[in-house]
Amino acid sequence: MRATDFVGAALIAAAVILSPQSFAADPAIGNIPTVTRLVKIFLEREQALDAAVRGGDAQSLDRLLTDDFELREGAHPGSPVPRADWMRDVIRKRAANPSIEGMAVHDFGTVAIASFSQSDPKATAFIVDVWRREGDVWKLAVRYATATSGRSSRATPRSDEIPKKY
Amino acid sequence: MYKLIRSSLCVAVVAALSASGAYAAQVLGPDTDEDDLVPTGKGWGQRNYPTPHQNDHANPNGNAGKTAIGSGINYHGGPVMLGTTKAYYIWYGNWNGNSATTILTDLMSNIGGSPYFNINTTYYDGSNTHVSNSVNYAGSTSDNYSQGTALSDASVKAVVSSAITSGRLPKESHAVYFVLTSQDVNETSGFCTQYCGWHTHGTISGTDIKYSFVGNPDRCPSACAAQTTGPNGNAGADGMASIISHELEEAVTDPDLNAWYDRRGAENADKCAWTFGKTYAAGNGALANMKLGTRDYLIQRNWVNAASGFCATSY
Repeated sequence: MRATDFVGAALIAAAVILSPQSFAADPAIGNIPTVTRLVKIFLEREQALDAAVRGGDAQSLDRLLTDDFELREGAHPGSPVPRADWMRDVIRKRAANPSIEGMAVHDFGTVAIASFSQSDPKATAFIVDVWRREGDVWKLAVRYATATSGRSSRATPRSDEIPKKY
Repeated sequence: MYKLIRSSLCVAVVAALSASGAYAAQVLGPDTDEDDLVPTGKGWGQRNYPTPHQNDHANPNGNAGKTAIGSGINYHGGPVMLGTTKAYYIWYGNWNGNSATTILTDLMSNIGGSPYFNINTTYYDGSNTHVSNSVNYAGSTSDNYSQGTALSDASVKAVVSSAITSGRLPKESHAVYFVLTSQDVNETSGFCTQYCGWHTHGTISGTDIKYSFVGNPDRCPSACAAQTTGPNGNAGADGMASIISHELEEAVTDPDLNAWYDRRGAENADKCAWTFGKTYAAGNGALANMKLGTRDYLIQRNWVNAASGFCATSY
């Protein structure tokens, strides 16, 4: 298999894995939860990040990050992506409108950790965002991100799991 | 070579995905004294897949997909709870000496007939029969940690099942059973980190039972309570009042998870979660937005299924 074939196959596989039809197979009846106040707040912060990136708005993005922000990727745990490099990269790439699934927020006072799965039409990543409160504003201090090679078995809830977190 | 390519692809995927955040759109802070607003259409919520309702598309009336044109929420053919809805409480854990038992009983005793619950009359079934503004608080029982202090979703169902099969509560399909847990009890599928409560339905002793879990926000005030001092002087109970109201109005308009919800899977109360509209200071200085019976409460707004749809505290 040539390299281009592999990449093409991987992208097709990702597209199939993430197709809407793949979501609808589970016959379980779900519970309908009420999302926490913190989940709502940090969904808003993630939305603001997304808006800044897709709008190419470096100033807004800058205000959402702590001065020492860095990205750490699962594939390169010892090589963080510095703040300036990350900002430049994400604004240049402007990823397609992604969706968030399964957000949980753990509150530790001036630090909050939001974890979630993020998908666009081609791929999925598990992300852990560490937010630090500076005054009255939450700023993103560290993002840990790992690509998932496809949906795990737990992507489709078991019958005793809550499939929708709000 | 494959390894290198796979690694590069992986990094590219992470970079692309980590480049941006949520699609969440309209988000209102819990303390916002906003006027009635209409969501932008993207919704603030999250979902695990297109909608859990897709798994449960019973269509008894052949009206699946029927839409209240432009109201922001759609009818999917399932039943709503018509006539008077009964509500039962199951006080799980230790509630001794906690004023929640009176605060929340008063809530359920007075929510029916209120301008707030009247919002639910804008919802109807496939025969165009509308939900009634009528709730009957029909009683309660207690459960002394029969399932321990770390509950699973299945444990919650077992608590309801036990209350019914033991005869402590009657078995009724036209009721909502609320499992209310004390501060020392966790629900391990995500209480406090992902949700503050939930509702569902299931078969218990051959009957379709609607039930709900609502935990005590004293366990996680920043996540599940709108303010540190509630209008009734019990932050946990005052926080639960809003969550209970949320679950009740969703259970009434979408009891089997196949009636009223929007294109993102959000039910009526989901669309207005953590928004409260105009508030006033209660006697103790805490914020409230409505009086039910003799008490002040701070209850989230609900989605009015009329005109173009909007969040409101009365209708």
